Amino acid sequence: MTEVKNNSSVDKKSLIDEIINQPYRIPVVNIAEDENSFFIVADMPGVSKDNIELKLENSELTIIGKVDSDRNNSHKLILKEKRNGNYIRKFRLSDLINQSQIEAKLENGQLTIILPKKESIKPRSIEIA
Amino acid sequence: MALIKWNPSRELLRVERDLNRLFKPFWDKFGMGKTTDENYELASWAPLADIVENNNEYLVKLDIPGVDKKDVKVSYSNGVLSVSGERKEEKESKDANYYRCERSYGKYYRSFTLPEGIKEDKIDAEFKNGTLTIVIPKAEESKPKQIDIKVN
Repeated sequence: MTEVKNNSSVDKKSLIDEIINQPYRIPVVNIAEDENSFFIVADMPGVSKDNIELKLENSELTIIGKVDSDRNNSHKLILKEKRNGNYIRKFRLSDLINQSQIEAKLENGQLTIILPKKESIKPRSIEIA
Repeated sequence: MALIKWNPSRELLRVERDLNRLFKPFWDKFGMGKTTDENYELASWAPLADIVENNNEYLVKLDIPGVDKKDVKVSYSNGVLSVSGERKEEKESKDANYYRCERSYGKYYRSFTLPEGIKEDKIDAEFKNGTLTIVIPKAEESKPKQIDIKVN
């Protein structure tokens, strides 16, 4: 492999540095587990694919989502129910998770993270010789 | 069966519906009965909304994450704007065990009574990244006007 794609991403600052001083909210999540994987599903409405980042550091998974700035800054507020700010939430991962195989997708403001378990702990049947 | 987080707004919806049902025969008797929307009767949660305005328009913004564009229905009749649809549980965790369930599922419904002086036929909606933005333009006559006063 010689070709280096995405040169620009090397210089790009992490999203967390960009939004660290701005107000943030904690996205609501579902956490589930089945035989093969753990699942984290987070609601992050208003976040596009370019503005989301997952960081894995010392078995701590951080999800960061930057909300696209509104076009209605000049508008007068009538009703306010939604919270403002970007999304940040941290999870400590269990030792059972194979950290190199984590997958994530963002669809309609819903982030789904699939965290596969390590092969060694998956249930299996043992052949009797 | 998946666990569903207790949502206080759902209880409120139920109380509201029960009261409506209780008084329905009375209202019907005096011809004041409202036809109840089926979507409203079946809804189990309501999305949060922000409403803003400027001189030209009202904007209603709702958070409906994890829902496909085709599962969002926006309608307007008799001065009431309603948003309804269903949020389905995602497939990959159908037979999984839950540790946490903070999100709402099922049918949702939300309605707003719009003020006078809007262009009903120009209401527009956009669904992007799980947020629904409904643009309601104001009619010309309800926009604030600048009146020049000539001083002689």
